[in-house]
Amino acid sequence: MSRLETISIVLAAWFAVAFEISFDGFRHWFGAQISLLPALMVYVALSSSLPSVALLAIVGGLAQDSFSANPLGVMTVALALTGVLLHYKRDLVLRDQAYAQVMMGFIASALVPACVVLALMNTHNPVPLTARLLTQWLVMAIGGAVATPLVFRLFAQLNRWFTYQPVPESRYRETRQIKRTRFGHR
Amino acid sequence: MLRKPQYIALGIVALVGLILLSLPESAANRVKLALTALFLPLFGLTESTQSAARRVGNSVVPREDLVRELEQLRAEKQKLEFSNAQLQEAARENDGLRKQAGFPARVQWKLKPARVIARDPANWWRTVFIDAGSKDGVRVDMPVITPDGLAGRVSTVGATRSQVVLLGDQNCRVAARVKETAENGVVMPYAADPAIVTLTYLSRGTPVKAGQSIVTSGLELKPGNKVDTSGLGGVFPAGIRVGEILDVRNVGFGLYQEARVKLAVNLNSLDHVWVVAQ
Repeated sequence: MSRLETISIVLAAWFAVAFEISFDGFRHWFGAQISLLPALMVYVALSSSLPSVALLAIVGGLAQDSFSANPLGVMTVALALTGVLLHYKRDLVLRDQAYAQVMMGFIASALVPACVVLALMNTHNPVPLTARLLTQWLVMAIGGAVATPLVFRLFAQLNRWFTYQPVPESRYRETRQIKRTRFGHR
Repeated sequence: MLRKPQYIALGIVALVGLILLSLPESAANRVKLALTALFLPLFGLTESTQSAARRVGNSVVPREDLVRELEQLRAEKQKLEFSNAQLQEAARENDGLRKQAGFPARVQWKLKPARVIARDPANWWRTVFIDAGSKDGVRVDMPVITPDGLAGRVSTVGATRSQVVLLGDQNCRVAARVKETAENGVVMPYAADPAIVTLTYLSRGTPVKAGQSIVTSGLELKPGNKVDTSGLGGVFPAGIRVGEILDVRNVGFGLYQEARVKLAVNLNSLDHVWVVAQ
């Protein structure tokens, strides 16, 4: 895990949580807040290493739980479970395809809140399972599905800006060179 | 196959999760409040952006509109001054009568203004963070109100920030009373709509005055009846508007009634609130 990768994951988690706690638009329009952390986790799990998954789960999960009435750490565990699952199946996923990104975003954005709600069922303060919660769950999953390809594009752009690009191979081959001597072609 | 750094990463996540989930509530709240400090730049940025937008907005308002509004406010101020003088006289009279009757004096509210700086990112909770904390005199369980009515109560207090649990959250239950009929009940969340709460455990009978002949007992509560805090729970002072009744139905095999109450405060657009220090 490079230093740039570490910094970008921590910053992305910070921005994702900052967006969630300060932007109310989705709540007004669709009745539910859309979380960007699962979309970010899809990118990290499919493109990076397990320590990166762990870092995002800890930083993102703790930041989100600190602004929530959720027990501290529950989001960390949910994100880590989702990230590890995706990371081990990453060879089966065509991660450069937008369709695959959307599907992975949908699955992760549905799985993370489901894990949190399931964990909360075992606390003294369970979340009531209602039709409204189901609608919110769907909105979160669809929102995460839409956000995932955008996250991939954003990180691709960042990679282009901040990392060395491979030098394109020259088409010139030395063996094709026609060497001329005094006596003509050799 | 897992390699050593991957084992370590997984172990760290599992350990962090276990430690955090097993923290006592007070310690977890302290850690949460400390972590929110990481977002202080965001709060500052939001505040400065809002004030810049306000300044820009103010600069483009036509002068005639401002003058008209100023005239209206002056007229309103004069009316309120008369009304205030009458109320002060009534309060003095009330204090005198309470003293004569041996009742304890009414405690005056001290209001502390606060700004909502963050909302709960989880969809199943209804909490917000405000920019007032223990340094401003805010304590746990203090009621939080707006000019329209009750918004919630303070649940966690940090030095400069506090978490407020809003009406409609399952952790915010309020003892309330229907203003017109003096029926007491408890405000509970209503799952289907965040702008509505349920006023439950309302008795079916109606108060009977001495000498009054009872014709029938039955539903007295009507849509449009106002619901205020009753002061019975010990947390919220009496007389803060909660909302108004939408409809009433019998529950618990007819043992008691339940009313759906439309909240007076629009909790989705909370911006500035007041913390009531009693």
